[in-house]
Amino acid sequence: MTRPSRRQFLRAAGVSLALPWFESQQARAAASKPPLRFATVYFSNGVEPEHWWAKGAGASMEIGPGLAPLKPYTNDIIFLRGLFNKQALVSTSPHLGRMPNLFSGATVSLDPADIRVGTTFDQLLARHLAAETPVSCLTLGIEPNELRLEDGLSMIYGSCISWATPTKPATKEIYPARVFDLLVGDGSGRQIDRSILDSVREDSKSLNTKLNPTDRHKLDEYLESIRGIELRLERASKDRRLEGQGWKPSLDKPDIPRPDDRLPQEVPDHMRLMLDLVVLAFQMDKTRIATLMLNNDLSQMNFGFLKGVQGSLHLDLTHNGKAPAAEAMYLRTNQFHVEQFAYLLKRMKSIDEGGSTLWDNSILLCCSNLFDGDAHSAEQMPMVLSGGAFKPGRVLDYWDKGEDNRRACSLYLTIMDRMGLTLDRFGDTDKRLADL
Amino acid sequence: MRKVYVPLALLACVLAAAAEPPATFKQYCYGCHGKARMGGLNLQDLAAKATVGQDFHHWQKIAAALEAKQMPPAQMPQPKDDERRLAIDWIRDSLAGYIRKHDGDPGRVTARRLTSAEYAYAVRDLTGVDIKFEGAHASDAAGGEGFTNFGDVQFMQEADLERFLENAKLVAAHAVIGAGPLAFYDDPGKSAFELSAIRRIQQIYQRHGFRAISGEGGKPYGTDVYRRAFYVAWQHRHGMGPLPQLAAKENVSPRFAQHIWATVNDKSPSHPTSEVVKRFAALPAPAAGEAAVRAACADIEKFVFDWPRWLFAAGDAAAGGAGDERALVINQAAIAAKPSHRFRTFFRAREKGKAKLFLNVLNANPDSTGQPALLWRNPVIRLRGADRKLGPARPLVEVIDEPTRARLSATPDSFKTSTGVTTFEISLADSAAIGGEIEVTAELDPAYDGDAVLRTTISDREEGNRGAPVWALLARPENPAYQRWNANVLAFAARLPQISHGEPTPSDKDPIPAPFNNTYNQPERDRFHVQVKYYRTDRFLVENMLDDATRAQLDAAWNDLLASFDYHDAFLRFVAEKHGYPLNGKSIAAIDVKTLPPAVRTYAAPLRQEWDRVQAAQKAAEPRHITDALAFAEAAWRRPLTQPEKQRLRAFYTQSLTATQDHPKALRALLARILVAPAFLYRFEPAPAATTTVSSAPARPAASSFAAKPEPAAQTETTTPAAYTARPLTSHELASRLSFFLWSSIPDAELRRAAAAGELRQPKKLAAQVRRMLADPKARRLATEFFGQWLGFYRFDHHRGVDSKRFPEFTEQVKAGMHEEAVAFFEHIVRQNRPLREIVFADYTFLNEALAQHYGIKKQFASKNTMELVPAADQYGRGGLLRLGAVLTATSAPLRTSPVKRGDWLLRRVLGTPTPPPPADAGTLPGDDKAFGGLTFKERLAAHQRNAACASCHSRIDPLGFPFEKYDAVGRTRAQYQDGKPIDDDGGVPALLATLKSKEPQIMHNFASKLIGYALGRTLVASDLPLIERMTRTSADPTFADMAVELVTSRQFLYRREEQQEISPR
Repeated sequence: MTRPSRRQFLRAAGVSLALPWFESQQARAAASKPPLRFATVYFSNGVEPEHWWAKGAGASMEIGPGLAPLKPYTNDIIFLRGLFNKQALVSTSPHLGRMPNLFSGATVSLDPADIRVGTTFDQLLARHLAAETPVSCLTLGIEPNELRLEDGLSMIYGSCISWATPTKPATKEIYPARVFDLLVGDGSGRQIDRSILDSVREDSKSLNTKLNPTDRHKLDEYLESIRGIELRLERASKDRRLEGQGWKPSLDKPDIPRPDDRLPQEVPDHMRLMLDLVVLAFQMDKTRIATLMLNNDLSQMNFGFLKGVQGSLHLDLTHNGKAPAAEAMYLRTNQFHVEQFAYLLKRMKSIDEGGSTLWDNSILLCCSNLFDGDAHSAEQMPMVLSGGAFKPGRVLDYWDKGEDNRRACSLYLTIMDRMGLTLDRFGDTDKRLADL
Repeated sequence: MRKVYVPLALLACVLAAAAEPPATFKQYCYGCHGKARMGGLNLQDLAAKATVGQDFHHWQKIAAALEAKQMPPAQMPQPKDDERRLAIDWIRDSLAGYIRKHDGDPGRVTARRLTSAEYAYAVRDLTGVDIKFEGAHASDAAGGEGFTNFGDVQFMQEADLERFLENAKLVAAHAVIGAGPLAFYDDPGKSAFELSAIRRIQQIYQRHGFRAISGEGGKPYGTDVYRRAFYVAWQHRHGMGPLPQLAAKENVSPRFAQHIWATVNDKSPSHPTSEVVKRFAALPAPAAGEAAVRAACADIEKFVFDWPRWLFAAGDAAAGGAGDERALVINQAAIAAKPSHRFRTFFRAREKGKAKLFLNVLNANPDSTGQPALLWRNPVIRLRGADRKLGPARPLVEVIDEPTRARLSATPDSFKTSTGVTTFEISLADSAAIGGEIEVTAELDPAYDGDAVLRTTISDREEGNRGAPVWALLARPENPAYQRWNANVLAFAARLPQISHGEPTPSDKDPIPAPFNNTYNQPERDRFHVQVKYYRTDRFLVENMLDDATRAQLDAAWNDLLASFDYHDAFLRFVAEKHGYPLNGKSIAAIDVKTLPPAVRTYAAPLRQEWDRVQAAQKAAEPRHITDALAFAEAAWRRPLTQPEKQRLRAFYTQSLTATQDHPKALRALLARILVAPAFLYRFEPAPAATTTVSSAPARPAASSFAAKPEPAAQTETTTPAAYTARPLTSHELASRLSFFLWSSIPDAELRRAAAAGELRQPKKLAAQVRRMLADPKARRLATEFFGQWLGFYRFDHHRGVDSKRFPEFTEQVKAGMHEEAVAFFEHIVRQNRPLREIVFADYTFLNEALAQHYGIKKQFASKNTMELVPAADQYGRGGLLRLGAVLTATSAPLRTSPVKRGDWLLRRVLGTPTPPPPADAGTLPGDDKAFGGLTFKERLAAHQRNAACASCHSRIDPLGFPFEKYDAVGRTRAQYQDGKPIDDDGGVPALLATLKSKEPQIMHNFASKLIGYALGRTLVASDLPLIERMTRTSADPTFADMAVELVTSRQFLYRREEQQEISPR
């Protein structure tokens, strides 16, 4: 079994940590334009194909019922048809083989003793931009990790779409209060915390030499976490003192109250709060990358809060036996998910960043990893882009363009290009997505 | 990197054994199970691998399919019998060869991080406090054999570490850092320091002290210590043994026994103590029997409490003083007598138009002389009409009848009585009058010069007086006889008090100290309770009851209480205010006692002394806290600390102290630092400094003792080739593995002791530890952590898979009950050492009232919430794993039952033989059984099964799922479907159980596999198969402990693999 060497690991995790932070801050202070942000809203279990289509362009674009909440925004979206991940398609595991690799195009290891997928592009971007903002990225979710195996495989696969390394998912935060704290903390009043972390680092030194490579890898994770916290505190405390010319975030302090420590009781409130926090983080320029999972794969999220909808997402609504009543409920859940994306658009369009809106300065992606949820089909994936970085109001159809020209990883390469990270190759391709 | 030494000759031997796969595979199998990967299986790839070990699950299935002639399928060309045999033998031989070489392989175990459950349990065991960590579960994930304790799914990132840091600080905030040793309290923070001190004080008081009356709403407690102490003294008198031993048997402290012994042996006791001595002397001889003696001892006790009640006319004497909540503190002020007293008290009309008054004059001094008499001067009555208004004052003579007036020789000015009860009736004239008020001065008859002490009361009832207004003690204070009496009563109170201590909490029953106004409900007293709050009065308890250790604990707790806020400043302000002395903002620390006016100094001086003591004690405890924190670290880190580690922790404390200038803050930082250290958060098993490894697998550890040192290589090389290298765990690593396996937490003191003593290397002692631990209440955690995750009811109390609109009766209470039912059931199996067979075949379960009601079972329960064992539950359709509500509910869909899920659950979780995942386009049935279009679920499923692709699995799944159909989606029994259609459940669970009887070995095999996966935190490997066999054969009817002992004493558990890579060819 091959595992990444320590050096590989450190290189992967530490890519841009070496960038002198202050220099990049000065660069930012000098910049006259707002920076570009990237956010993803993911929903699980796919869509009903009959409901998911778009044709035409701009204001006259026609869209399927699944996309109805985007009706007012057809000028602002790009409907992408036909993108897919080859490794998801060929996996023998209909759910877990096709989900955690959404943003990496990697193969999902089906060996229970080897949890492995691939580093996702949002995490590469987070690392690339780590030095720019106090928080490298927000990895958010609504549902906790599912604590069981699915067909012998860990449900950690079905609970995480962002992977910091091939063997480690980015820690998903589901508690709004913790996200909030991450954004407001400026490092003051945490001297004791810092001294604690400083001191435990010493423990690791004596331990390190006695560990085998796998365990040392675990210890490295721990040390990286210490370093991560320290860097964030350092950046946050400097951030406050920064005096500069040029562009400044449109918000200095949060304009929403600190959420309750506990999880919101109702799903819609929870999602809304998480989206507000994404907007807040972007607006304060605390981070530039956010990934929000509205649900886990195989989610049993109960949609009883939607009028006329009964039962749980995966078992009852996705696999609905094509019963018309259940099909209608499934459609409502799809629309509900898209509604969340529409809300994000609306909020971001309303925020002025000095001549342009937050939306203008963003790339937004709404997607799922399966197309026909009932059939677990991965021949293509439902994907909608928005934000001012690409020319919106279009339908781009790649379905008939041949496998090599419709890889999701091509989209990711293009997005990374725009965000300033140019890679020769990512996942299963070296091609950028045409026409975008 | 270490090279593994493999002798050449052996290598050759291994290679020879690894024969090429027979041609049968290529000829008959690869067509479908090659590149085509039919059923997801590429046999060609498998056979090309160097070893069959890694894919042993597949190979076992392949061999079984060949053996049963399920493969190749009937329509395909069939191998001849010998070709088939050859293939089967090759698989079996290769597998056996692999297992031989890897026997006892500890396997690859990734270092584990504590799961959220383990973290909480460990904190619980470290601190003794249950701390709720909000959102702690967020970082858990399941892997390996399906458990959260699998290292590869335990990740650590910034967000996780932040959470651990936050939790560690929360734990540290619960620390009580005062004059005593480091301890933890239920609540965090500053006010908790005060609360914890109060609780510690109260605990000592409750356990060791007594109170005849315990404040408003409080209950008397501990008073029967007197009768037991009298009994001890009596036994001692009759030569039945030394006092301390007798006392211990009666649960009386040696100090108290000694105290009572001295009291009853007083040669010249004074009244009222003499009454007790007299009664003790009159106790019957041993011949009277224990019961009679005990009854007589209880009578002496009764006197001890009754006499003061009588003296003070406390409450209703007939009801033992009830109705009067005054603390019976007998001090100089309480028994101060005076020659006269002006009574002013209310009376009520107890009959229409009539009220009675009782003047009760009793002599409290039996040694007095002469005939005392009282003069009642200026008796005045005011009547209260129906309008509740008091009328004008009238001389008493106007409202009593002529015969009474004559009897009393009453004049408007006065009348006279002697001792005894004087009664007279007051005619209210106005029949609507509800009572009135009497005012009169009682005065010792100037003509009487004796030494009587007159306990005098006025009441409108014969007995039962309340409080000061109706009671007075009349005597001449200057009379030496009275002064003797006074001293004697105080001596009695000091020896045989009513309360052993005053309560620590603000209490309006215990008196506040001099010089303050102690009158109930007076502003000064109330203010004292609010501002100063505490006043320590427990001398009797400390001097005559507590042992030295408890005294020290009590002192420390009081010290903490008085240090928890500016107690002495508040007290000083109170004193200063009382005496009109301006403090000008000076604190207790700043005052110069000598310069204070005498009246203030009297009180301020002891206050200052106490303050000095408290400060000194707090300071003196500081070094001890650091030592305690180091001991805390050893417990938390599960091993002794090295010298450098100790130095590092001490240095960290010093550094924090410099930064904060605050001992508690610095100590809390140290505690938090201990809890975020990798040694706490991770279960690393680092190589010991001088690494020695075994480069091979011996057959089994020697019977008498496990190798403390690796076995000599030469010996093992001759029996087995080197397939891996391993080293024995250190004793402390082993203790930690053991405690995390059985308790999901850190080792306790006993296990650490055993580890330090090297006892865990002795199989018998190791087994004894396992059995001890499994009987411990902490073994309940196996029920939640192991059984819960294995069988799918983990965190069922948070289950969200039921549609609450469809099943409103599935309440939070029912849900919690079902979870508790499952946990209690498995706790019983584990801790009562029940045969594992009962997991499936038990006819009992655990229910409480709410759950029984949900299940529709009519049965009486002892208490509402506690789970009770219900034997012969099969009469109600319950009992055993298959009929647990949590299982039946968790394997249902939100709106309906799912025979497929239930059958799959049984195959997968219980039997350990899951079917492959369904094809992606399998299609499903409607989520709601209301949408089945008139067909039963079974009929719908039958249609689905007609598809051959589905049938191969569903013919295995469905027959195991349908027998559950008479249990609905929330675990209740039902007779028919919602639409009234009958249920065909193929004989139901009883028939299913009969079928499963023959599968018992398979169930045990699967159980053993899961237990290995859980205990070791890894997936199963081929070389575990012999261990599984051994575990299932430990006895004819193995229990959890039997299997656990076998597992714990296996090489897999006792050793750690050193190298990660496979070096052995097939």
